Amino acid sequence: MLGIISRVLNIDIIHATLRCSAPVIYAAMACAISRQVGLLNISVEGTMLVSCFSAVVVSYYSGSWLLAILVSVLVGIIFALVLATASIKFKGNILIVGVSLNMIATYGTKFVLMKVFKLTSSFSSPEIVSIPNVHIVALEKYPKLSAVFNDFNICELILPLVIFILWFALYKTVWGLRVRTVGMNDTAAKTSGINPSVKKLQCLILSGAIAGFGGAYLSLGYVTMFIEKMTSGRGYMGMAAMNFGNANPVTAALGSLIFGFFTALSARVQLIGIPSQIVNAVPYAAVVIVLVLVNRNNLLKEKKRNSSLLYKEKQVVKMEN
Amino acid sequence: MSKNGMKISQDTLFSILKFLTTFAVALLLGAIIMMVSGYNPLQVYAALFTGAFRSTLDFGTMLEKLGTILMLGLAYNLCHHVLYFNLGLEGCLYAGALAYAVIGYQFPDLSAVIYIPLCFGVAVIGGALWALPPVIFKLKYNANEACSTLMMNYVALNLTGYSIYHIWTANSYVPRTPNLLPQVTMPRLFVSSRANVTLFLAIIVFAIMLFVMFKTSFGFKIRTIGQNERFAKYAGFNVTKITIGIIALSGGIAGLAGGFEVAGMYGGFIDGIASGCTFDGLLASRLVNNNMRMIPFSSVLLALLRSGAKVVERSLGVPSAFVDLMISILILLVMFDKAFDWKRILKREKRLGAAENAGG
Repeated sequence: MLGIISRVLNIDIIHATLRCSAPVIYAAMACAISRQVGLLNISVEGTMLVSCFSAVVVSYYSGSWLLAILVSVLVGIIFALVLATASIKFKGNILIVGVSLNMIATYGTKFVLMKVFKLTSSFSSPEIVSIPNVHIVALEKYPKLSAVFNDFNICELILPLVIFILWFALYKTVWGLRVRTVGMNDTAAKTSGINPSVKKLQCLILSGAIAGFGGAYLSLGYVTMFIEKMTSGRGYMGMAAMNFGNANPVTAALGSLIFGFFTALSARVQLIGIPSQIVNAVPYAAVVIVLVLVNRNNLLKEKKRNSSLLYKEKQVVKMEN
Repeated sequence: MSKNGMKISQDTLFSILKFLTTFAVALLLGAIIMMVSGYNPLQVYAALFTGAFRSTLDFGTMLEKLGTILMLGLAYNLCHHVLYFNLGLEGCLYAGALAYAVIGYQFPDLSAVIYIPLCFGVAVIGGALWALPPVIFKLKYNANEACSTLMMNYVALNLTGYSIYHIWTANSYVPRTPNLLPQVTMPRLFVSSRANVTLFLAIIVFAIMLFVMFKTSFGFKIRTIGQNERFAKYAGFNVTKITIGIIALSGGIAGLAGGFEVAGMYGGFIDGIASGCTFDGLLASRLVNNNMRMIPFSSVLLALLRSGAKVVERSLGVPSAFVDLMISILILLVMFDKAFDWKRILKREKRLGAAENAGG
């Protein structure tokens, strides 16, 4: 028994967890930024999928991963613009628009894959140039440290920076304050002279760009190929993770680690003979459970705050009397 | 539809006009995609819309799709009435289908009179139970239902996959449950296709729900919640209870649709029995602006497209993903429908004209 556990839970799992979390963190960042402005961007899933595809195609034809990332970000922004037009200008339900965009992404990539590349289900080729990993030779002397910290992808290494920039923009700048105001109370923001539509548009574009970047990383850094429906729910996991700490990028990123851990774990327990279907179901069940626990926590916190406010008000009234 | 018989109100006329414009734009976009990828749009569209009538097989394909789409459109519509964004109908369908398939091969000596209702009952319960956790989580902890119901689909897909591999397995090359007993297998309409009598059952279920919705006080309560939740609370309706009941009912209907698929089409549970069916339901309801009375029309249209997709793939070599793509574009355009709202556009022009006159 102990042998089995040590085979599953050894030091490598830290590295694997961090790697598996990275795409979820990108999705969570994209969801968090749109949540801050009061919109639930469910189309992160589809945006990532289309970006995965475009990144692979561009990298295949041009041989440059930098160009591939650029195109993916652009594709992400285009998707976000469609979402923004339908939901902000034409007041369509953003969830349904998002779902239809996800479907367009799924079937559009499938159609192009079949039509242009005459392939079904996956596309891989040695000519696809991937985003390089960073290997630090100096770390090789310490095998344990090396196992945890070496061989990360560039996109994974810049993640802390992305999280920090988002956090800073949202919580330490005037722009962020205004964005959060729109998210909390649309009408109040309007009366204080903020144009909510503009802020919403900006946040959705940013969200699309991050999702596009995450998609490029998923198909060129995480793996080097395109598979049909390869995002496999990571966008939704990001949506669940974003609930940690009410869409604060830092806590959302920490929350994403849970899903990364379960994904990493499920790849490992398969080795010791647990049926793959059960294992595959675990990360998705985790999403539901985490969603419930986090929301419950938020609800309790809010209740506590409200009741203590009441308490304070009572004190004030007493003192005045 | 309206009380004064034949007279069609202006609003209906405009909503039909709006729908036609949306549909035309979707066709146009589809035609552009086709021309870019080297097909003849006219040829493809002709095959797409008439394909269902070319042979008994294709007509049967349309009928078999129609039943499922009608049921899921109904299920989605019910959720819409209680302001619940249910994307988990697929999971409910799997749960119901598996329940039907498992019970359907257990008791060879049971007579059909008891056995058929038992199986359908189990399918309904299976679907309803699978629908319950997300709605309870939403009402109790405010957990977003769009996310949790979608995840429940993945869980259902994997768990049913596991159970037909390891628990209730026929040990065949393609993993599936053992064949249904003859008592609970629904007879087919034609020899050459899988269309079967469950279509009529689906229509009956739909008619009953229509009656409940528009002719009973329970239906009135549901519609009130959809129109104004605060008013419903004020009027003393137990909104929480009704919401949970309706979601369970909608899950049950999806489960029943799963039972129909197993009983009539497959004769057992197969992996991924109806993947993507939630979105068919969503579209069937959304396409007619969530008007329950109109769902049969949108269902027929969707069923036509789906069976046409097979014809187009067979005869012209267009991948069926193309039709799926077109259908998703259609949903997206439906969300843009305020852009095609002729009434509003005409009104605005009139107003602008009046303003100019006044100013001039």
